[in-house]
Amino acid sequence: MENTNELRTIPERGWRTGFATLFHEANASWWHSKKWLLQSVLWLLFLNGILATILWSVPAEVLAATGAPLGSITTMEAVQQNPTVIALVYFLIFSALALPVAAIIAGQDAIIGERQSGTAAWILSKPVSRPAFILSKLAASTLGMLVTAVVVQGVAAYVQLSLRTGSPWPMAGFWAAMGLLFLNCWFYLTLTYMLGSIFTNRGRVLGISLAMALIGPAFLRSLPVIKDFTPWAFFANISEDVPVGIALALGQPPASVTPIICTALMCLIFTAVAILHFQREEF
Amino acid sequence: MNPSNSLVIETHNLSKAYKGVQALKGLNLTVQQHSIFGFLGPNGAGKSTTIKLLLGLARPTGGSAHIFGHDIQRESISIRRRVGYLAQDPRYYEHMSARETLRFTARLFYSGPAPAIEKRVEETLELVGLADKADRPIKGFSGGERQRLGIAQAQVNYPDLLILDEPAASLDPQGRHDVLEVMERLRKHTTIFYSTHILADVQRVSDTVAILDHGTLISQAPIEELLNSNGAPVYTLGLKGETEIARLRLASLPWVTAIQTRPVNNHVSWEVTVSDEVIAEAQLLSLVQSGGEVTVLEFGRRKVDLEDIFLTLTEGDQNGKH
Repeated sequence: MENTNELRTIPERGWRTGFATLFHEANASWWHSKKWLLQSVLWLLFLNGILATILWSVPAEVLAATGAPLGSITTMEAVQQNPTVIALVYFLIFSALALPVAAIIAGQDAIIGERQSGTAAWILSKPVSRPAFILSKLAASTLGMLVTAVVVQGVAAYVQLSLRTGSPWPMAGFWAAMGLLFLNCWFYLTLTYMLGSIFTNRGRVLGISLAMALIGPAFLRSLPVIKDFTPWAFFANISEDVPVGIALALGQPPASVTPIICTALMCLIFTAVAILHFQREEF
Repeated sequence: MNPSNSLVIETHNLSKAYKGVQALKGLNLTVQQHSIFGFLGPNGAGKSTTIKLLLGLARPTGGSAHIFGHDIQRESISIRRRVGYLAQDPRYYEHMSARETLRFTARLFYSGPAPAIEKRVEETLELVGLADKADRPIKGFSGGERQRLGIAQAQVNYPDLLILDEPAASLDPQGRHDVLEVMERLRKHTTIFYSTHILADVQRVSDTVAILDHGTLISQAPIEELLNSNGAPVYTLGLKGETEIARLRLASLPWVTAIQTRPVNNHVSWEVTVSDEVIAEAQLLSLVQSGGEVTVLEFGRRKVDLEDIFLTLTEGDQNGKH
């Protein structure tokens, strides 16, 4: 057996050991399949379809007549008087509801599937750290979601808005709102990873995650304090004030950054719990 | 190399309990470099548990273990860099081909260059005889092909230690033969530690054996030593006639320690255990025939094989005069 001496041992050490190869593999399984194309087209048809239906069904002269400066739209009542903004708001609200479901479906099998199939034990018998196992998959899913659910949708929506209004839509605010949409997705993706590392039952992971995404926002009116700690109020209309995500899309500063910071922190906590729990897992 | 340096695996009272059930009880094991170490035991003896502990896939509840001098809990990644592992029921990404599986595995050890990795993959495919099936998706592989791929992925980093968990258990005779042949080919390159309950395989390829039962190590020795040291010599006889008279005559002799009798078709078979091989060789047959009441149909010394030793050790088999 000839020794191939020119091979270089992987330089990664500590928690990063194995990350690059696993990330490459997880990424390839996303981008080398038609998964990303299917997701992109599906969301384009659904989310940009909603935007297009409203935007292009309103006559141009009506749009021009109701075109108040975006900076002056500070209440939901004002929002409802501007068809372009209504179209944008519906796009954002439906995205905030639908994309977490996509994130949950994308994330629910990542850990449980590998544990149940036995491939996790195989991978972890190689020089791979357990944090690298979790983080590589999370990073690949994050990148996939970012591109298919946020960037592709955002570009299409931005082009539509700019074309229909006849001038470039304020870019910074729009992409800040898309960033918030992404944070909203990432919250559910990390939540699903955490649950996937804790439970061995897909039903529990899906049930808890979907309940959080679909039922959680219903508690905003009865328990308004939770809007400061969750992403549920990013785009939800629970008062006369414009929600933080919609304010950003209109180029306005958010009324409060607390829910944004809290959601980001919770994403990090979910990831840390997923790693800590997976560290203790036995195969 | 001094003896301690030549130890690849060393465990000290290694223990594991699952929810109060003791799967492994104070295992003390040493595996020398360049040995083919057969880790024997019935199903549920604790073999796979031991292997998982050594690889960091499970945590011990007591004791310690070192591989290449590295602690299995604190330095697991350093150990895994030098180890190849084949699981009892190996699972891979089904959408990959054998070549892609090996490339992926090699990338967990090496960062490149790409041609060198491809060369290594090709060599490993050749080694296990999968070169002609390298680009087929592995979901269509037979059990034997899957097991050969398992050995290939375990060997792709040219490990200093190859750990194989029941490598031939689920294979047909041809598959078993293939796997043992690959193991024999690898023996000059690496230390092989493998678990099995197929005794014939152990006797064929191993040089050292450990026997585990109910989580306890019963015996560890070079296989020749084990075969030679297992108890007193046993002679087998096939007899016809009044065998009870002859049995009583023999049982009264001080160098006869046990006689087991068993009817076989129209005659009786004896297994006579003796304490003095020289006297037995000289006198046993003539003593049996001396009364004239029996006819000896067969006579010979029973060859002890690993199965006898294994059964004796794991079942606590007791021979006795009766």
